[in-house]
Amino acid sequence: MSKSIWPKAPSGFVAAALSGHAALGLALGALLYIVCLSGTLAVFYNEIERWEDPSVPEMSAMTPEAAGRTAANALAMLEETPHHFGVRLPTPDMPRTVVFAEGRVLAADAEGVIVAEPRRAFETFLLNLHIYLHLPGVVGLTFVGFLGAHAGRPDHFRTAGASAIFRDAFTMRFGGSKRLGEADLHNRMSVWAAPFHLVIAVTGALIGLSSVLALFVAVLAYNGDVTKVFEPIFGPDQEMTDETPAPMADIPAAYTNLKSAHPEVHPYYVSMHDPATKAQTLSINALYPRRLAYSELYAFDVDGTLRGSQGMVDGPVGRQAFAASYTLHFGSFGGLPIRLAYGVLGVALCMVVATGLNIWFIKRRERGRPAPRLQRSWTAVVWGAPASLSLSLLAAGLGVSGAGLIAVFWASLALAIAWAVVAASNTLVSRALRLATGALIALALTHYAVRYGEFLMTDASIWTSLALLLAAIAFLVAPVRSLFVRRVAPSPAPAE
Amino acid sequence: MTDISSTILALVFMLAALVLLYRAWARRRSPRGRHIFMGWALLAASMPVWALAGGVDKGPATGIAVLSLAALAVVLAPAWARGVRRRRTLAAGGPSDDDGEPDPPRSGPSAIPWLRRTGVVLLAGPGAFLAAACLTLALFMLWPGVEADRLAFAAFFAPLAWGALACWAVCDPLMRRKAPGIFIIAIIGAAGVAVGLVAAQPEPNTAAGIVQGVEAGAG
Repeated sequence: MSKSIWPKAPSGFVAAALSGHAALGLALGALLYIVCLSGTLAVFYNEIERWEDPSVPEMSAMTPEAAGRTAANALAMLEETPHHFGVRLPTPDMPRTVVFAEGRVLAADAEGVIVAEPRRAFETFLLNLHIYLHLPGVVGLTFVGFLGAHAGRPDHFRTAGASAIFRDAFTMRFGGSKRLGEADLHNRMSVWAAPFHLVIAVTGALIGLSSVLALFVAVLAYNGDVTKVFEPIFGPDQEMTDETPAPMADIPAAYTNLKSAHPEVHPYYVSMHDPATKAQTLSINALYPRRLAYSELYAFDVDGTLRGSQGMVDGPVGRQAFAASYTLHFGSFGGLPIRLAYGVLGVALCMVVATGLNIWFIKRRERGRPAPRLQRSWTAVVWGAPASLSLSLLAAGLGVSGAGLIAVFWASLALAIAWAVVAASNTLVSRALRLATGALIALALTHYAVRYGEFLMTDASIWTSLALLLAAIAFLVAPVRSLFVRRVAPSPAPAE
Repeated sequence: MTDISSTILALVFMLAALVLLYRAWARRRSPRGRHIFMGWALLAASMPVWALAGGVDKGPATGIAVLSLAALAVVLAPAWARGVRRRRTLAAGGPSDDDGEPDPPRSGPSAIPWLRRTGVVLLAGPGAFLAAACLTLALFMLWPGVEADRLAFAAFFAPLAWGALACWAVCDPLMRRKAPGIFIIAIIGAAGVAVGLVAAQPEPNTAAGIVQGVEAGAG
């Protein structure tokens, strides 16, 4: 055998490098899993927002005059004129009126009186985890987009030339060999949930990678001006040109004019730039009940005259596709039934990621190269992420928010992984973390019941509380049962 | 036809398709091609009915979510029940799913697999990204449609192209094939971008081009 001309690396170094590669793959798998898990929960962001602060007034509709009063009252409470200013009007999915003004969030009652600054710490934390992985701005968005692009890789769907995948499309073998069970679960979910998973991965990657793609497009086509890139889709962003105070744009007239011109739409967001100045602009986003686009954008003059629409539902196909990608990704196009379907399919996606790496560990073991420490770390991610989210939920209830909540999540997850590395067994890690998840959800619910007892039976609270209770029970059942089930030693094999 | 009756019809199409596929694939040794074809045809036929029921784009999106859910239920429910029964019979005494194995000794193969894996990671990550970005930007520059369509096409194409090239980088065992292949795609993309940039320049021999050039110079 000819000798290699390359110097041979020390075996310890090579083993460490291989282990490093495995750890890198594991880390990416872990981050993908966290994005999938947080995304599954983020589908219910409306429910979470309502549950988190059930004291906020709810209403099924708001009059145009009350919408105008809401904007005026909110503006009067702010120290400076905000550049971006919006009033979210009640919809069947979110029956609240909320004002967004440069980072501040104010809730109004049905008459347009500002009554509270709603608590949204956990919802904000969860959405930031899913969209940015808590990394800064474009960096986080791009990294999550990278994970989405790789989650949508064709080899993950195993469709290319793998006829057995389709032939066995209805085959499930639970309860037998662990590897067969895991492989069947992985493959069946990969096949049957593939259309959903592909849509989620591609729209997620689109949302995530758009910013970095825009940098290249700006250099090539817009003299480096990134703000110009998305103008063909979303329209231009208004710049402050004249700060001179002026009467606020006529929101009730705009609302009424829109409803008379397009009675089929549901106006749900009044958006203004530099309100109550001479530079102010007014537009209203409206939902089309039978379209995927997240909204159509209608522009108005300050006296409420309808100027035209952006063309999100009837403009160029590209604009319609962009507008549809957000609703497709977040499952916000068909009310609660679609969100529930997205929830179930999201859990399936988490299981595809989890079982994928489980199979890899089993195969390694079968090939005589087990990696118990890494496997326990992976188990700690799979069951530790829900535990850390539950701890964050509890912490948010106790008043922790922003960076504190981010620290609680990542520190507790790191602690779980560190413990798993030295833990006695994989089963112990899995059971302990499931037990912790169930217990923490139960604690968060108990604290919530004490704090918001009077609102517990309201629509905003009851269904999400019940869902959390069921989740707590589901997490607790298996580990608690294992404490009471006596394991019988296998009978010795008969002598030959 | 009302939305409700269209939805029911779409559900019937979809369930019939699932039953046909289930029956065809249940005979794993000799699956029936006719049933498989009819199953897929019914699934495809249900999409226009979904569009009728829920809207031109919202309907099929709803249909796809329903299909995935229904199929998972068909696959998982009976298997889950079988698994629970089996676990109960195995009950105690069955093999534990615990690893319980010691860590392997720290000795490894030669450096080549390590170098190879590094190469694959670089090729599937930044390499495939650069090639996909070049190709996407070339298509954006050369595509004749309106700006919104070109932008949306680029935004959808980029992650798909990156995923496909990363898949090639990971799955193809021959480094001498995939590395030059991805490099050539990047070069083709870069050439397309260059052509697009040249095409976007104002033509100096036309009156408009001259005026544009003079204005640019004066500016």
